[in-house]
Amino acid sequence: MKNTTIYLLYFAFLVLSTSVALIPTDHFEVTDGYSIDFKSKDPSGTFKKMEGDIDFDAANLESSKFNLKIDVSSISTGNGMQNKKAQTEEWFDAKKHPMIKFVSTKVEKKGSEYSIVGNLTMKGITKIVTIPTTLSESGNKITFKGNFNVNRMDFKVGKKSDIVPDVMKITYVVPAVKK
Amino acid sequence: MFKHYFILAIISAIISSLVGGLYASYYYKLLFDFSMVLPVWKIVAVYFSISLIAAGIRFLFDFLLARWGELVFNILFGALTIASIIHPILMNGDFEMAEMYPGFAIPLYFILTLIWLALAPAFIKKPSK
Repeated sequence: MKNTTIYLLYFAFLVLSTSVALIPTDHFEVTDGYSIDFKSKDPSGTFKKMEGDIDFDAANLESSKFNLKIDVSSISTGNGMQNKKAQTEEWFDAKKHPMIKFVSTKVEKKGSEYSIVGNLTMKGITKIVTIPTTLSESGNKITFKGNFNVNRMDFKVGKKSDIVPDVMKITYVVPAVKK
Repeated sequence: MFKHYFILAIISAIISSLVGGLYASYYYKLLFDFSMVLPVWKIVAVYFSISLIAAGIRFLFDFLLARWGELVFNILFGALTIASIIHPILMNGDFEMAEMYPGFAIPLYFILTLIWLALAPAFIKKPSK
């Protein structure tokens, strides 16, 4: 190989690796104004407390990552008895598993929407879920919105019932600010 | 010949990326997930970048300082590596478990240097005395 080819290859590798190394990882933190609602024939409600970090760069989805936690004890169905029952061993078992966790493994763009694939852990059981999301940006704030279905039987949340359906529709709005 | 320096840089970067990537992946899985702060792709890119820069500097030193080039370069590379650990120590990160971050990150600062210096004699011939 000629010396000039070596020099060219060297500079190409150097420029490429240095520019990748200098790509900023856009880091966001979940901020107030979020909502995680679940809806079924009965019950419906919301989780009032959540926290998490989001790395999101539309230009570099491979480096994007979502790490979210929902406080099980913050469940609110509009019925105090149901709220207490939801935290028992039969349902979410809040004592042993106080948090519902979601850690993404892949973020993809599908048309104007994004698709977040990741591990959803509920009651100590982890399943892969795909969450569709739309994104809106304003200043240093980014908001993810969407809905998806979760089968509570996959996570052994409650028992089969004629009253409570297996599949819950989750609707979420998650705003996050750049840190 | 510059070719040997270039090959040394690429091989060192590949081995370091494997070692550093495995270390980070296992750390994220077993202890705490810092991938938000330092994703594995960034470790790989930084290793390639530094390895190539080191190869260029070593080539320049060997060219300008002849037989003293290796010694001066090794001292400089070692000193800069040790000095660089000040970055994770002083990094006042506003993220979860930030106090654990230096303990995780410091070994990563040494992997490339150790591999680079260990492999260098196999690729770069010493100038005759």
